[in-house]
Amino acid sequence: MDYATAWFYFSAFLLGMYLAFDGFDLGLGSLLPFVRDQKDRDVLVNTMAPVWDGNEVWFITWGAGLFAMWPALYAVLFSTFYLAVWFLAFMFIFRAVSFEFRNKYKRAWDYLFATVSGLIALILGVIVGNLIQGIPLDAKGFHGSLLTLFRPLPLIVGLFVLFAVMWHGANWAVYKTTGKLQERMRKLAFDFWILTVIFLLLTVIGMKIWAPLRFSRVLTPLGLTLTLIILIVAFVDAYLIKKGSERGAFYLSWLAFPLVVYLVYYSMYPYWVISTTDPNFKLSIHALAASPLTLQAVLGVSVVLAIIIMTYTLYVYKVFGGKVTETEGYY
Amino acid sequence: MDPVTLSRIQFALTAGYHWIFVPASIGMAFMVFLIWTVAAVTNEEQWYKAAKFFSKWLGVFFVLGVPTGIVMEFEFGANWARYSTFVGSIFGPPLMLEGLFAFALESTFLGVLLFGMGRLPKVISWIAAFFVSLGSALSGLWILIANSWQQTPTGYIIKSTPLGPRAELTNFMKAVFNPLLVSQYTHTINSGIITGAYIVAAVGAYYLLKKRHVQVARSAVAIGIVVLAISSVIQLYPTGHAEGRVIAKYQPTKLAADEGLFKTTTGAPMVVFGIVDEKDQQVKYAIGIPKLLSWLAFGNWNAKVLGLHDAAKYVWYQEVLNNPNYANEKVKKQVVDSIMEAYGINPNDPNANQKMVQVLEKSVPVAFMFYAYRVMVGLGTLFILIGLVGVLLLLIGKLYDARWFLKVLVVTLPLPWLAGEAGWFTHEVGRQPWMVWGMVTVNNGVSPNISATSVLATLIAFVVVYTILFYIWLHFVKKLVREGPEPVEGDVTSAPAPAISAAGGGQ
Ligand code: HDD
Ligand code: HEM
Ligand code: HEM
Repeated sequence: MDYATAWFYFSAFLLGMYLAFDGFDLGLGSLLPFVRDQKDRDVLVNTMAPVWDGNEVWFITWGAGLFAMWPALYAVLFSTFYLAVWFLAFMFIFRAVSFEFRNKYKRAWDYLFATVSGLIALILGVIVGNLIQGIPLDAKGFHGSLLTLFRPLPLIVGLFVLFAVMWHGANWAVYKTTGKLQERMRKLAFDFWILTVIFLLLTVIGMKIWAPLRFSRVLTPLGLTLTLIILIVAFVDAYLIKKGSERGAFYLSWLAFPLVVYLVYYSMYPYWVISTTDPNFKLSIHALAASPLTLQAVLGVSVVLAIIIMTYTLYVYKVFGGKVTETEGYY
Repeated sequence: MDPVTLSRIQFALTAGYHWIFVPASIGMAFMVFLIWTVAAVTNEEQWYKAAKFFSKWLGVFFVLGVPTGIVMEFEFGANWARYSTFVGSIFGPPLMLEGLFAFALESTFLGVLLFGMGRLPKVISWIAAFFVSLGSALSGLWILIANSWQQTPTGYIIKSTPLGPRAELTNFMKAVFNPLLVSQYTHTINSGIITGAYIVAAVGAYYLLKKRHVQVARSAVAIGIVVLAISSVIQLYPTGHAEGRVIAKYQPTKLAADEGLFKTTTGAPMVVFGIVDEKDQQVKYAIGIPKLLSWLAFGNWNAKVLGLHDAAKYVWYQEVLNNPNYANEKVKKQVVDSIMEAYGINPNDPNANQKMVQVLEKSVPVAFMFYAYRVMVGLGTLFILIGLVGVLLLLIGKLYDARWFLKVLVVTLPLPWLAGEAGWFTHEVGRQPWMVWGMVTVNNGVSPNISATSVLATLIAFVVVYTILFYIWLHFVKKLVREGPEPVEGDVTSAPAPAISAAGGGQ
């Protein structure tokens, strides 16, 4: 395997970890409006309070990884979608502050928090959806507008990500809470599981219509195997939710994210960008890559560090394991 | 206004705002670790209470430090796309390693510290404080590798690629340990420690003046003053001095602007203060110490220091046209021509080089640099004074009763930020018009496809949102001060009963 390919799949790992870890924060945040009682909301927010900041780091690292290994891609995407990028940045700002500032005007902050959590998940999905479908970019430049971002396939992928994190978030809440709240969350987990599966199928159909090149990679033996594993994971998860499992359902939805991300990356390989205006204009992960020495110099270190991070993250989750019943933050 | 100017304003605003929280995070993390250590060694109650109390302050700085940092990372791709493409191969890896090396450590263990206090054994809190402090110092390291590299680039070669000419790594270690790194890193991190020490001392002083939480407050003032005294001396020597020498060697235009030196001088004086007259190209009413600048910059009382015009000439001919780090003459011509064209100069014009020298000369606002630099150094001197007076009072046992001194501490609390911002402005404005010294100018670094309207829109959004958030944030700081640390036996707290179980922990 060449270095650009290795980095491509390491990038998939980082995005997968981001969705698996921060995904439940985003999802649980979006679920807050489904919970009436203020006390219950406090409990839910407190289940993520000690860990959300650490979870977000996976996103930063994924983004910085794109910058480091495909600077030209990072530059083109971010400047082309200038306003959308800053919109996302503001969402991240509001999320951080509504987490920490919420002890006054709680309801208002909670609604803000729910909105931005949902929007972040949605926009991330839309971005990935655009990479899947391709963008109207060719040698002459960009021919679209902000609306290009919101074509049907990207929107479907966006909703898929949104529902998936809500399913995952509810699973997390089942794991961390007790009693009535737990029951409520279990119900929500199943509802959003259904929506997730529906939108997964819609995504696949959409890929067949709008992204045939990507779709053909899903039909390869490896692609089909991955798809099968994802489906098994999803259905076992539904079984566990129904059976009343406390953690198993969470572990499986956690696993689902890296699997789906790997499938998506696999279907895109080796083209980051496929032009929708000029069929011959494709930007491969090799053409856009940083210099060979750069790719080489930090790959080993990055993998080792990722393992170290996983280790202490697991330790921290163990330290804060167990049910949350308190409603007070640390301020 | 054009996208370049607007993007520059936006970058300056967002970086300056990020820097409100960064030095406080770095410094407070260090202080918190120190206080937990003292608590473990002495096993005294007031030290534990102080440790817990100041740990909560960390959360207050992180809350805006983190998202404003993400903004900066986005900015490189969104506003400075051509710069990112040109140097991304070199500039990107440190940014990425920062995430893996440092942010993960910092954020994860901050969670352990804040939510573990009172629930987990004390030694875990101490370890967590250590990792938060290590993490924030390391994150500073990686970002400053990137920043110092763009000021004094080494270990690279410029090649032509299908994506256009770009800088590629030839030697990772040489790029990391570029000439500026060590002095800039120590100077910047130490400025954070000054800020952290100042906060701890001033908060303690405030409680002493109000006669509340007296035991915790005494510990805070004492440790704050001692750290302040030590770190503010280090800020001048060796770190500030070392950085100045690197600037003198590699960025003569910046040095000339810092010192308001328009004409090349042998045995140049160190001007303490004066009024810059950019039109007449001189510093009026200058009060200075003869020959000191020559000695500080080059270790020789009679060394020649280049004036602005000669410095610009030197930079253009030596550092740009004679830059050996090009793969071949063709790429070099391509890059040099694009620099000239960005300023509307025809590369075939026989006077092209003189015109570029003029551009370089005009890009550095001398008066601004001269004053900003003096603000930083002046305040640095003031901090040394305050630190030493404080230590003296501590030694003769009068520190806690010297109300005038405690008042000074409280009132001057914003100054470490002022000094730090002045330092960054000198550092960043002084490299104009270069984004990467000698290779990429701001005109050539900006994104080609962004419109002035969209940059203006986001700039306005930043101003509005950042202002509102700052206001809310101040409210939280006030609340933290009002609540104060947990009571130590025999202390007056006279604070309104804390709203939450004082254990501070709990999820
Ligand atoms: C010398 C220190 C220093 C400097 C010059 C900068 N930062 Fe910073 N940054 C930090 C020191 C720091 C920190 C101390 O590590 C922060 C501040 C508060 C915090 O929570 O972490 C942080 C947070 C922070 C974060 C959020 C990390 C997290 O989730 O924990 C990002 C993405 C950045 N920064 C990125 C940048 C970029 C792109 C900069 C350059 C323009 C920059 N920072 C300048
Ligand atoms: C947090 C501390 C920092 C502060 C307060 C700061 C301050 C500034 C200021 C005032 C400007 C505008 C200069 C001008 O337009 O004349 C600027 C621009 C810039 N800085 Fe910094 N800076 C900081 C950190 C960094 C770091 C760490 C990097 C790189 C790793 C960096 C890279 C840049 C770039 C790329 C620009 C835009 C181009 C330009 O205007 O020259 N800055 N910064
Ligand atoms: C006491 C005397 C001081 C001296 C001689 C000194 C010297 C310097 C020099 C030479 C630079 C480089 C500027 C450039 O690139 O042109 C610098 C930058 C800077 N200074 Fe200072 N400084 C002093 C005090 C302080 C203080 C008290 C603070 C803050 C508390 C501070 C914070 C900074 C910062 C944040 C920077 C920008 C980053 C960097 O280049 O390191 N300095 N200083």
